[in-house]
Amino acid sequence: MHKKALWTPADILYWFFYIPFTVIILTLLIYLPTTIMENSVQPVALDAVIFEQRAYAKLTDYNPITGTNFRTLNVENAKPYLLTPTRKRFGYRLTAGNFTKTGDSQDQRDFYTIYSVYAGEQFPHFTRTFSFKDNNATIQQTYPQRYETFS
Amino acid sequence: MLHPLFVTVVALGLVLATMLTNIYSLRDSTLLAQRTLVTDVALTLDSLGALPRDANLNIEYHLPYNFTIDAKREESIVRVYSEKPKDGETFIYTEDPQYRYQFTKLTGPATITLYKNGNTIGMTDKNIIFKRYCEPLDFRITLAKADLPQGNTALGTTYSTLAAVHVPEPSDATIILVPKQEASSLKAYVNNDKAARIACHLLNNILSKVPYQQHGIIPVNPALLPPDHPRKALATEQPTILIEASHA
Repeated sequence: MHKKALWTPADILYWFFYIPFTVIILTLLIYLPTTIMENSVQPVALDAVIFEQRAYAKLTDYNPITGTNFRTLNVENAKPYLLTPTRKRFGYRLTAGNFTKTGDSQDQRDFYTIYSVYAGEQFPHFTRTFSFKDNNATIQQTYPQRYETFS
Repeated sequence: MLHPLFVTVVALGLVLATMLTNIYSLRDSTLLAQRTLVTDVALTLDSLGALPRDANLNIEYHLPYNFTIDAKREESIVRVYSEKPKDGETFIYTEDPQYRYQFTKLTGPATITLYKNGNTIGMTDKNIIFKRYCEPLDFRITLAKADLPQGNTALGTTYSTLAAVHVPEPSDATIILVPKQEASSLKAYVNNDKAARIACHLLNNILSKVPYQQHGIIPVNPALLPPDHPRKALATEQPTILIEASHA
């Protein structure tokens, strides 16, 4: 009696390529659109600009009546408010005159110290310098590519 | 062994069915709308912290869908959902220690207001009476009872009565003045910087009860006033605030 071969090439193609490939395609079709939609809203750059402006508003003095910016650097007054109690994963370094501050929490300090070195597409890095009458203030921020939270 | 043609047809059928199901579910999906909305609202709240602290701002924000929007302050997140909160989208906002945050849970379609008002940043659907930004007090205040009239006598006479509020230190009480009649002007005359800081909190207290359209803190040099002037009560070293609630 003729004995059938255990595995023909067609069997191998069928079990190890055709079926797994179909499953992979189906999975991609289900999850890909949702993932793309979720990841399309990652306004990290906008977040960085808002952070810079918030710090700037605290570092300088305004005339409360006219709103005129005096362009003076007032670090002492700003110190109590230069806090960002957030779980959002990012790190920053603020240099204003002789004052330097890196993050508010240990997590933020660690994140900035470690990942600012890898600034690039994976870890977007933003630097902005504000000029004041007598000094400058520089804010540097590093974010992950997609929003994450500190655990 | 199944015929290869049959298997191919089944596989293609599965792929096609999945594609069509996904296309239809995406068409009805509000995920992207929720995600965009929650991100926009959270970042708008963040950006309100970039205003000069004396500036107040209302942003009218149209909520076009029947989404519910609220915030969890303990987690600093804004949340948007259509049916169940756990199925919604969230985004973290960054609190500013300079301000208090207040949120009202709102359901659309509606026009909501994102605001910075005095020391508060928040979200509401109600009209906002503008308050002033007050520096936090690094000392305790005691406000003696003010003699603001409580009756319903004619406006202009009742509320033009002056009430002197003396502030002895140390103190641990707060007074909230509640005028009984509508008036459109509220002035606090102060004799020094400390009194001005206290008056700021005092006026905000009053404004939370009575929606005065005009209000202000006016520094006074009592030495320049004639002896019988009503504001001569300010001629003291003690921080003193003289409140004038009048009908404009």
